[in-house]
Amino acid sequence: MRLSDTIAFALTNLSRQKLRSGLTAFGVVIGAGAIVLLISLGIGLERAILKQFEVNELLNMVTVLPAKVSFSLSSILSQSVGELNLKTLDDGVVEKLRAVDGVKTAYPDIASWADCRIDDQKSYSIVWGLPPEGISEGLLSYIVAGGFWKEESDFAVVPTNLLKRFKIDDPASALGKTLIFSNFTGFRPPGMRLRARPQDGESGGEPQKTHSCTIVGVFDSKQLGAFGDRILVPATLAKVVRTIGIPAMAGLSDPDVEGSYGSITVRVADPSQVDTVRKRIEDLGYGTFTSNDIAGTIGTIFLIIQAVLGCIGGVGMIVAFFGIVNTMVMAILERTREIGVLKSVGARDFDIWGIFVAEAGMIAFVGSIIGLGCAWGIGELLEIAARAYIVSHGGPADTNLFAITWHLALGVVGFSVIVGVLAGLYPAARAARLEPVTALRHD
Amino acid sequence: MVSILSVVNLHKRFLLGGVVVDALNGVSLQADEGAFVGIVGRSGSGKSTFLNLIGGLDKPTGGSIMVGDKDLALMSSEEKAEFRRRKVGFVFQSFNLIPSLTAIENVMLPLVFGGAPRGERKRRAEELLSSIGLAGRLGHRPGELSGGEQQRVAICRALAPDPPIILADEPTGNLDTRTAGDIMAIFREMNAKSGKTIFMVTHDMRTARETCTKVVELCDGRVVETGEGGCGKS
Repeated sequence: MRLSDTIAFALTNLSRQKLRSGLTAFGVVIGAGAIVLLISLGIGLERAILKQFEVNELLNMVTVLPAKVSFSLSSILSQSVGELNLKTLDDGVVEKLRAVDGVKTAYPDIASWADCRIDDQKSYSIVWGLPPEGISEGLLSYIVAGGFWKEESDFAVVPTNLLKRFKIDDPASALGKTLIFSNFTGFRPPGMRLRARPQDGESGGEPQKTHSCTIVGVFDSKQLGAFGDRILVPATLAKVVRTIGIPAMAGLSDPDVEGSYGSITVRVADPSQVDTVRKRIEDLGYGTFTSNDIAGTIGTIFLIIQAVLGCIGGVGMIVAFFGIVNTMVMAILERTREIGVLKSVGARDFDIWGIFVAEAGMIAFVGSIIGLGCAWGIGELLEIAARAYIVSHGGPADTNLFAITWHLALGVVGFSVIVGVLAGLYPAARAARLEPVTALRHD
Repeated sequence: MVSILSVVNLHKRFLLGGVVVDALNGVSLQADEGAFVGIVGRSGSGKSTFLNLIGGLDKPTGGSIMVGDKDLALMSSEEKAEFRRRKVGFVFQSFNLIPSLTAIENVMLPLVFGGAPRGERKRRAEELLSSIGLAGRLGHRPGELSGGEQQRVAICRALAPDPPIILADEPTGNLDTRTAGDIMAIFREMNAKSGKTIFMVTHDMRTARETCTKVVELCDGRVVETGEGGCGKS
């Protein structure tokens, strides 16, 4: 018997019991649909987050840390700072890094969390110090109003998303306004090491420290992805703000040691040489990380999330599996006599087996295709709702939270067919084993 | 005459609710090519069991069934399927057509399992159904056909792979007298014109004597009488 005949025969049989075939397939629709919907959500979220790190400005950047740190998931979870052999990152190290082959420039990162105020509105942000060489062409192209400072003084370039929080819609209207930094009272990132001295806000008794500067420019925060949410100030001002707020990225060095930095940013002349240069820096005994590290870690985390979501969806598939087994056992009971007839006209055991396995596989195939369609439809509807929510909260309008990739679609259909075929194996074997004369006598 | 089937000391024992039943108790029979063998006897005499055994639908508990130089009793299930597909065609009392398939699809069925090309199957089925007067019924399902028509479709199905042997189990049992006569005529023609060897189970001794070249009467699983039929060719 040819495969095409087996399939044609199976299709005829399925169409005889449309309601039962349909209900059985519906189980697969739910199982396959749930898997697709959940995994596509996992993929969509991963992409949305990874997009935040795929920024040109970050591609030639290597962040140098005081010690070698692995950014793989397992080491992040197990590493403790105390075990690390910390090196001091000071101006001497900056000079040394500048001399490394392939390095365009290097400058210390002076960053801190601080509260900030414009007029009577209050919020908080990371304040990031930029030396003149840190103002790259990329950054300049992200400016939407004003520009960077011409001299190192009390000036700031703010991101558009900060202005949104201050309800300033027109970036140009922010220019010239006074921005006042004060003690950080916002959230405390987990694991952040605090200064030994008591925080002014917490001890209550100490007076508030403040420092004001003038907004001279506004940049498009979206262009910097995950790094967009920061106020850029001259390095000199950043040092002052650090005495007010709490240091960001201070996990690895003691910011109280004068002249030592939490990290150093190295810009590589040729983005394709990032890994080579990074190797040279690591050979000097320093730790490094690039946006690729974050992307890699996020990828691993999401692989786990997708697997877990897939398993949750898989529960539906298990139920569908038994639905198919049940339907096939019933079908064979009903068609016992017919199996006898087929054998009497020369059907081999294998032909009979093939017909029933094909029927089970086809139920699953049709179910998975419909499930795929349903998941896509539901995903699109949820997408519309999610997008409206994101946009209303100042996020980008081009998110795609439910990403059904070809791999996912084909994988789910293939998986469903395998589940269907497996469900058909036992009933089909029973049908194939029937003695023709016994089957013919069956009513 | 060339022997087409030779049965020696055939036994079939069932276990029916703990009771041993000897459906066949040492049946020996020899049939030549082109014979029309009528198997008669009361119900329970073992006629159908005998037919199922020589058709490879059932396994004997003893004895041999020689078809050419091969013993059916020793064949694997795969070989028996091949035997049923190429050597024999079954015609049942209750027609046993597949209700979901049309007349032509039912006739094509043995060719489907034989792996014949689509075009050839269709041509062969059309040819057979037309020759039997069902050219206008190709696309009808069994439910839309009369008993006589259904049995004719079943005969076409048995003939589709052009097997040398036709096995018929009371083929007229479910039909009225006139239709039964028509069907018997078809069998006679099959035997006379196409040279098919036919084994037909019937309880109608008179028909058997009139039609068959050889009549075998079974009683309690044994052959009680073997005689020449009325229109003998031997």
